[in-house]
Amino acid sequence: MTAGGAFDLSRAAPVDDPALARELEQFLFREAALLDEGAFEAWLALFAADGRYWVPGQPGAVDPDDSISIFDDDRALLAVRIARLRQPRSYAFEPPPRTVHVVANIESWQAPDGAHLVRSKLLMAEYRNATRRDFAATVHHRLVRDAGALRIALKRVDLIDCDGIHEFMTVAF
Amino acid sequence: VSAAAPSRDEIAALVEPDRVHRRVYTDPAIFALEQQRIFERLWIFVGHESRIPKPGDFLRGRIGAAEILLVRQADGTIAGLHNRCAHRGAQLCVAAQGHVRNLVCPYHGWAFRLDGTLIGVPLPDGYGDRIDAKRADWQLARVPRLDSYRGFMFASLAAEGVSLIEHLGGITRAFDNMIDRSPEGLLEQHPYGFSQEFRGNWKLHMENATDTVHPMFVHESSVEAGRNYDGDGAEELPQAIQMFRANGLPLAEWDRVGIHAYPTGHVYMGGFYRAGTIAPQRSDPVFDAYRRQLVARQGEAKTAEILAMDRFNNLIFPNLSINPRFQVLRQVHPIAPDRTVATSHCFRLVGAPPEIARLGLRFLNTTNSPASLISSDDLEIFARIQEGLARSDSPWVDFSRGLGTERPGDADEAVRAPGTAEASMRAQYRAWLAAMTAP
Repeated sequence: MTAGGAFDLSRAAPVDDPALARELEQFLFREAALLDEGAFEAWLALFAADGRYWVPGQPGAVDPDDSISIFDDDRALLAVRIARLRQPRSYAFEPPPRTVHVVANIESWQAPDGAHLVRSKLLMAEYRNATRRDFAATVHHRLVRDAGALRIALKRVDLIDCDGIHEFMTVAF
Repeated sequence: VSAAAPSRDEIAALVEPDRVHRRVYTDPAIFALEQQRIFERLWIFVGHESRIPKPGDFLRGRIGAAEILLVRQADGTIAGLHNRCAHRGAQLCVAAQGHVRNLVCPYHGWAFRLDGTLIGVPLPDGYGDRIDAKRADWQLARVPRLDSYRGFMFASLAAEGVSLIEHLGGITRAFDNMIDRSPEGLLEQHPYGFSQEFRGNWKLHMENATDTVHPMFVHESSVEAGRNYDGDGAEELPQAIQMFRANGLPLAEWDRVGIHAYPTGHVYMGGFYRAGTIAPQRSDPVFDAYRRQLVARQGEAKTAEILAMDRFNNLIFPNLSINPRFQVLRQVHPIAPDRTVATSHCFRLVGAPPEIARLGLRFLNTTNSPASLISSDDLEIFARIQEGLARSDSPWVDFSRGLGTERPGDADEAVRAPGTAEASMRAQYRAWLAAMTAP
């Protein structure tokens, strides 16, 4: 899967049905709330069986097989990531960070294959061990229907400082 | 107010055979002296030449607090220049890498050739006859010594000292092995790498990289989560899961991993892959095709030797670490006594199938991404160590595990010890003390 092609907006049509646009927006808000609540297992359940979560480590990345990635997880690896945070001696997560994910500037399209493509802007504030930090990103969701419910086929998060200097991070964007 | 630099006797008193004083991690005066006597004297890795193939290509590198430019010359050689205008000191290049015709200062337009010599100064009238392009102080300052080990560029800010090849000694075999894994004998550094900052002294990372007792404790969370991974009956575990599980070796297995140290303070772990499981567990067509490529170049016996070389975390004193098997390099850059930036990169084996390059990329992602399940726990522990050492109640840090188990190593190796001995840290501190007390 080349994640670049997954968000080809040139062949997608803007979503003009307000009800659908609202549904997609609500999905993103709900997803952000789950992350802020630390409900990571419920967040994982939003992913399709073959879903993928990708945070490139370099600007303009096209393919995770050919670029470095901060996160490059299929569902199974995401499950391990979350299970690790639940371990009693998960030192990087002790204490767990508190976060606020603010999702804004939401635009949505319909891809020729029926998937919904959603572009949004994310500001995430994080607090841990007396330190505040902020992340800013453009986010692309590729959402598909499974028995009527929206599921994440691909979530790509492009941090503006993806190739910058970071301290370690444990909570997903 | 800067305190007087500690005397050599004072420094010597900080390092004992089996322990070091906490000041080596916390004291700003020691940190400043490390900059002078370690980072401004020894050979420091500054970049890989594959990033600057064409004349005019430049790459920014750092040595302690200094920033240098590696610039490819018209004749194919590489110049090492300080990234600072000879006039008023402005930084000349701000991109991490790029291409220039000449080096032109943005402040007053002074222009320099790729080798740092002065081309000209705009509005020269005000200088009378003082401008003399041949004089060194009208040119960009050159790094006193720059040398390459098969494409890995090292610089030294000291005009005198041992050669690069002497400094590297037997650890060159780790570089050779990484290069030999390419069917064309060539490496290409990936254009981007990770930069991770942590709240601890730079030496903590170097000590930790060959500390085989910490994984079962520090990495317990990813070991356990990796063990619970449900592979849905897949034939081979994903690489990341293999890596998480490899940290969960029992103590007896870690002891079979050998610590090897050179007299210059370089260290590596031997036998990790044998003991761990980060290796192909079955024959696969891509790996077989890659192996045939190597055989075509190197022959069967040499190929078997190249692929079997089992040296993990090869530490090159003072601040570099390489893993030939996954073509990954990590370097720690001291920022302050309690602040460090660790940069990491991977290399493509030129000529090898793309699937082989992906193993290196994924190894880098899994171990060195800021979101790594492995290094995040290490960096958290470094911060806790630094916090603890900032308190003065107990001045000593103990490195006595396995003291006396050191044996003379093979060939040019100074020391061979069982994996769980703290022989690596002792060897690094012998080199640290030698550098810090050198005349």
